[in-house]
Amino acid sequence: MRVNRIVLVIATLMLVLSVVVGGCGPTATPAPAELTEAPPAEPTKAPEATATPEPAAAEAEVTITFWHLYTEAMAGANSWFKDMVAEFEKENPNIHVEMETFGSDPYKTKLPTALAAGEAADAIHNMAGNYLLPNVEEGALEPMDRYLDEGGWRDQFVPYTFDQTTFDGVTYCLPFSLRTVHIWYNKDVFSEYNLTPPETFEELLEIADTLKANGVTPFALGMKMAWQAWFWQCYLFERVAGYDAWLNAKNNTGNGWQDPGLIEALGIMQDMAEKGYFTEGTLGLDPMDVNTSFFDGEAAMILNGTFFVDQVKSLAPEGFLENKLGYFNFPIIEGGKGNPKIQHGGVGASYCINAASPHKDEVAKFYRFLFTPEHMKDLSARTNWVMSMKDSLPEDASPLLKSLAKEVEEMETYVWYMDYTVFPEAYMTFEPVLQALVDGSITPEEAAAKMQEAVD
Amino acid sequence: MTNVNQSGPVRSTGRRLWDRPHVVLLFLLPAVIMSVMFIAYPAASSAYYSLFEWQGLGGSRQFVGLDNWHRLVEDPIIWVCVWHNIVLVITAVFFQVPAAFVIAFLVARAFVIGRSGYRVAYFLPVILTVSVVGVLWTWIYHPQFGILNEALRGTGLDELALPWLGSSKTALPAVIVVMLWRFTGFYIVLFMAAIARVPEDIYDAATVDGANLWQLGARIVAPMLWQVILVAVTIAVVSSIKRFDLAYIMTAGGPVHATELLATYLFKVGILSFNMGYGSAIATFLFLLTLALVMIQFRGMGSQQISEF
Amino acid sequence: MSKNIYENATTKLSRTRSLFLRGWKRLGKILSTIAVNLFLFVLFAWAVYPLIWQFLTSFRTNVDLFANPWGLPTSFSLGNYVKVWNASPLPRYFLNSLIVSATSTVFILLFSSMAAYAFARLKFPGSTILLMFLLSLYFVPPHIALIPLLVMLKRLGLVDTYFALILPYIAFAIPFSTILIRSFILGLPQELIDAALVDGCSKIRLFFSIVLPVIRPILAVVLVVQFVTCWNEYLFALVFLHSREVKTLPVGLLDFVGEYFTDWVATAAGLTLATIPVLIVYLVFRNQIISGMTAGAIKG
Repeated sequence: MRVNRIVLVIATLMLVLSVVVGGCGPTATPAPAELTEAPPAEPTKAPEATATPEPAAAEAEVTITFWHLYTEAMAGANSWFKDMVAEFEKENPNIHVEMETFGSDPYKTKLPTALAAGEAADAIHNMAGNYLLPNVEEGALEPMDRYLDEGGWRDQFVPYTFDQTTFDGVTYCLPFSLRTVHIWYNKDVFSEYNLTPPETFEELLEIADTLKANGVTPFALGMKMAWQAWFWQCYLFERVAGYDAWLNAKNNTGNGWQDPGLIEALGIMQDMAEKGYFTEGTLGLDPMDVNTSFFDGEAAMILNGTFFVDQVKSLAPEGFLENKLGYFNFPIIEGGKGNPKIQHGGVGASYCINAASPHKDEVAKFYRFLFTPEHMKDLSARTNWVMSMKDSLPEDASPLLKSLAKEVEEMETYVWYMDYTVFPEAYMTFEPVLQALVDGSITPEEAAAKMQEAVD
Repeated sequence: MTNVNQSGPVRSTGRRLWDRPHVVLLFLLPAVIMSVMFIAYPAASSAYYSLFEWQGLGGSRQFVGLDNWHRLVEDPIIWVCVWHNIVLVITAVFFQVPAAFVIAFLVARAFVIGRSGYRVAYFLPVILTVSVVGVLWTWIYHPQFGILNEALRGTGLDELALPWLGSSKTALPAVIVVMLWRFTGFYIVLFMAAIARVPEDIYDAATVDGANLWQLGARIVAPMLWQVILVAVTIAVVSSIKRFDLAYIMTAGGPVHATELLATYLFKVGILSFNMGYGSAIATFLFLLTLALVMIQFRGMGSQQISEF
Repeated sequence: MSKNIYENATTKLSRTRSLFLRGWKRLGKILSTIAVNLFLFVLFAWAVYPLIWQFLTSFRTNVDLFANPWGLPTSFSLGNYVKVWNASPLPRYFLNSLIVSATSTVFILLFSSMAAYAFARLKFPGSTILLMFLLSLYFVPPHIALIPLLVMLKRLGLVDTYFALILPYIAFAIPFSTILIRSFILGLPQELIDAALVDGCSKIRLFFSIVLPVIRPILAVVLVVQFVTCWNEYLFALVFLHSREVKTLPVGLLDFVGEYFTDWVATAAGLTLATIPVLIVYLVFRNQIISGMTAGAIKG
């Protein structure tokens, strides 16, 4: 009896507590946003005509919500954003920015559901490429052309980066980081076996043979999630069949995904897997997991994007980054149609305006503040990233960063990440196909056929 | 022998205010309201959504009738998932629950040193966060550095040092082992609580009659606990079909769908691939499948009368 | 004369034989006891080791860990814990999780046991159907409720508040808990009830003063399971909450997962921290469960 009374008392206290603390809630939710969105009977098209006249030049207090992926774990970017927000608020006392961070994977759940219910922030971090197609089709993102055309803002960006955020001639997002994919190698291991970075793919395979003969795994690869493996496939595709073939596949024109070049590329990869060039048990390994084997020399090389440098910095043993890490570009295949000036990679992330936001101009203002060469230099200095704006290389950049930036500069164009090349639902089917290919359970022809099927 | 079986319902005497039948409503109301509002309504919405082509982004929905359902029936992956889920159900019902009963009984009645330690320990995996469990076991199964393979190599069983999560043949069993590790503790504690209610004289009488531990457990205590066992099996069936977290964290349903479950596929399709229409169809299908299996389970366990449940 | 010798011999023989048999039986008993203890111990180790590993890992460094996942920490430095504690509003997340989990659990227990009692003891038309309906709600996977619930919560103005979690948590726990508790109430002996009724007890008083105390063990089980479930729940917490003020621990811990990589050792520290309250709740209520078990609550 007594216990029950106590329980009831506690329950009532908790209820009161949660009403007081929780019901009041954080100041985050912008009240205007709730009002202007006429509660729909069912989630309807994001209202393009919210018809709320933006507080034009009014000094009214405005709060914009901002979501991005750079949590405290990514200290460089995180601190940059915090500083930028503080500065921006100082310069614009009537605008308050509520910033929230999320993890990369969870965000892929959070954003769609939030957009579906009209609960997403005003300024949102997003992916790029055809991953954005569903968002664009639903009108969830606000076109940014009118902002970009103002004051030559558009020209401050590296031109081809807009390819990944423009659909049907309308630009929806601002490209942010610019990644390239290279083969990183362990200098110590290479010198141990007297190896030098190869010029051609055949040489690369020879190196792999040497390494294998000496008990070293040539390429670290984790395929639990297929994105790292796609780096291989995208490069092979380009190097064998040429950029135009890739373009055809992306746009599902011409030979599309059944291009003989692709089939050949798939075959090469299957061969490599069979010969044991990749980490043993790769299908069950997280791409992050295999870093260990790279760091301690069990695997000599890894094909990875420039974000890998971050991982090396925080996870590798002392001095690895400075002394043991080297990279070279993916070599050409003799007889292939590839262009060594074409890299794989592209825009890593982009920033968009929520089409349902009542504060679009304020968000644009905020972005304008962020996306200036000066601020980009700051970010680059803190993170060692190459950004999508011109002149965004800091003066005191590390040699590695300088080198990477040079690569980007010399690049003619690039082949996109696979999950940005095809729309999400197709990508979901692509993944197991690649896994099956490496597993050896389907032939390259079958794989290509399945990929084509998924895209249609 | 004292009968600890079902007792009948309490009749309302109708004399005092509190005794009127309406008190029933009061007791049921909160539970029913909450479940209808927050479970039934969304589930019904979902069934409704399955008739549409919808990206799940708050945009337009297009009525497509049974298109999603046709796709579901023809989708080979769905049937792979169903098979996997059924494997889980079989493992849970015919292995996990009985094993839990045996363990609970042993801990309760056998001559055991460190009894209270066991009581605490077996439940621990249940309370861990799923991410912890997933990460830990991914490390244990790691082909090069994992303790499992290191132990196997150490004892000369090199051929058995397989890439557990990386091979489509071993991935599912490997994941099932982790599920067993994680959830059996719940059933153990459940049974321990139930076994504790068996009066001491039952044991006394039986031992006098010369029953050994095994007979005590199987012939006497188990039948007495039939109700609880029935509930436990139901929980096992339903949770096996709903299962998502562990499979997704450890293998993301791979490699090549080797560990794909209905719930992981539903998640990938509905949310990650922006096809909420088809996702809703899968979800509704999942619900119907559970219903069917539970019905079969009731039949199989001999409860003709639902009220026996 | 010879008969006596014969009798002596046979008696001695049979005595020896029975001694021998008894010896065997005893040996059998000892061996099986050892086997049982060994078996249970192995299970124990199997259950507990990963937690220990997590605890030890929280004191190491990433570099160390990647070099040797199974090594012991070189020192018990609290570096990771400090990092975790400072890097994000962890205390706040703790508080949020605590509020949400505790409140949810209390109401889950209350509502479920009330409903369980109604189903078990009160006869009313449609009780079977209602019970089956409730059972079927247990079948619903949380994922499909994501968007409809978010929309509903938004309309109620509850998004980004504690209620956004508390209400769904209570709701989703009800079918399971109700069914479990009901099965225990059904097992209560009639004599107990009759005795109380004879004393002129009303049904409500019956519930609070007789039934609840007696089913304490199962209540304790449900309490612990539901508290833990709420504490560890992640999907709803991710989607229904946005801001730090209300974020719960599982989502907050993801602050350590940056683009493409995880800070393993810090995560281990964070997860260990996160496990502590749950462990405490478990240990506290374990006594309830145990006391229910050892007291042999109902003596015939």
